[in-house]
Amino acid sequence: MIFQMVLDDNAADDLTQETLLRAVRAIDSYQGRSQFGTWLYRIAMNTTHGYLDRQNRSPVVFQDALVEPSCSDSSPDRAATNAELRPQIETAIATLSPKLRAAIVLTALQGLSAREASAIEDCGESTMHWRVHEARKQLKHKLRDYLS
Amino acid sequence: MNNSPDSLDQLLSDWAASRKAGDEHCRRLAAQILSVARDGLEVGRNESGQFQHAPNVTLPERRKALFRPTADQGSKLMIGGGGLLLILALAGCLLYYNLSPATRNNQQPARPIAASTGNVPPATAVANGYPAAATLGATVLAAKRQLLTETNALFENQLAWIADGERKVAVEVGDQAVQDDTFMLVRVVVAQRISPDVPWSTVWQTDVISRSEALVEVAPEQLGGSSLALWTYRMPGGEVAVDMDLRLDQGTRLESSSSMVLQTGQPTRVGCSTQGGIEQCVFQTVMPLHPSQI
Repeated sequence: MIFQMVLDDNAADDLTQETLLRAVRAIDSYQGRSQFGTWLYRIAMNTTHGYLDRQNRSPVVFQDALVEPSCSDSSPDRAATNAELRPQIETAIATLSPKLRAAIVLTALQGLSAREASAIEDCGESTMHWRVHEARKQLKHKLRDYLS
Repeated sequence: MNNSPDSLDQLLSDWAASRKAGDEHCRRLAAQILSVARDGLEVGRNESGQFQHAPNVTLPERRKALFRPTADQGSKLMIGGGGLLLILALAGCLLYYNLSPATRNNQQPARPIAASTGNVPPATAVANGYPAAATLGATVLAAKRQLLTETNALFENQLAWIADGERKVAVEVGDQAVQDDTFMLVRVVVAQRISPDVPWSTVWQTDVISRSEALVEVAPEQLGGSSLALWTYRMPGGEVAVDMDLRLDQGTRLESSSSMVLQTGQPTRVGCSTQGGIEQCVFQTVMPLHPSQI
């Protein structure tokens, strides 16, 4: 999830580490009012937003990592397509604002509901719906050449 | 929200799958985080093996009177036994739920939050009567500033002090943020020589970064068997008062208590003894340190 937000392997490692340490430090503040997963997502998102703010949304540098297909993704053709499209997809995601990026990551990629995503992002549910809609609109436009 | 997947969803889903972190990377990252939690941020243990929050440093009564504890005293880093178990669970939980980085070819371990910067130089030269290791050069100051900046930012301006030993780093965190960002770096060096004509040989060295008037107490288990208590106060003229109790027990045994007013940047001999023809001295060098803006 953190990688999907920052699109940088090294930064994702550091932020994952920071998130875990912050969570341990803040465990006393977890009062059971929200699900534990939501609480962790919120810490991760706060940490990630802080990083993106510091970066001032500087251009993302992509790495030419080889595709490591998962078990369910064993088709060579599909893997090749993923490798070819990866820079385009990551460029498209990188152009989204952090809030829109968080909306699409939490819902489309992490599979959370708008209500859960809004709790993590500390915004209203309708606001989250709008952000997801806007993020999808922008991504569809940027990736229109690759969408059926 | 995601009930009607379309080709965009498929595209994103395929991309996420291709960027999924590999098991080996996850294990390495989890081990790295545990290592930082265990070693980078030192945790004391009592005799029964349970974690304790207060280092066990016993000060002579006279020395206790010299120290002026602040509100930060006693509020230790809140990583206990349960915390370490939790971090294991968290690492697995977070990685399982995809809160993890992508797999990459050139996997590098995450940068430790407060890594030791390597303190002891291989050789110690005579320099105006003090060992070269007692000098705080620009490179050392830059490294210490970076360590301070990252650690203080990580703990949201609640850092009380860091003791950066030869192989271990101990950290204490207060229970509230402090806006004053002036810290003091005190380098403590124990060196010995067999005659005034030969270079000093560094026996032991530790750097302490603390807020002015914060009491630093580093327990033996945090400092490889030695204990250190230190307090600094910046005087109006710019000099720095340093009270220190050092009990060294790492090959060389030494006990030193001192209360000195130091000029910043100037290595100062705060105590000496001669035994069996070997001169052994404790040196201190102090410099104000400000965390960088990040």
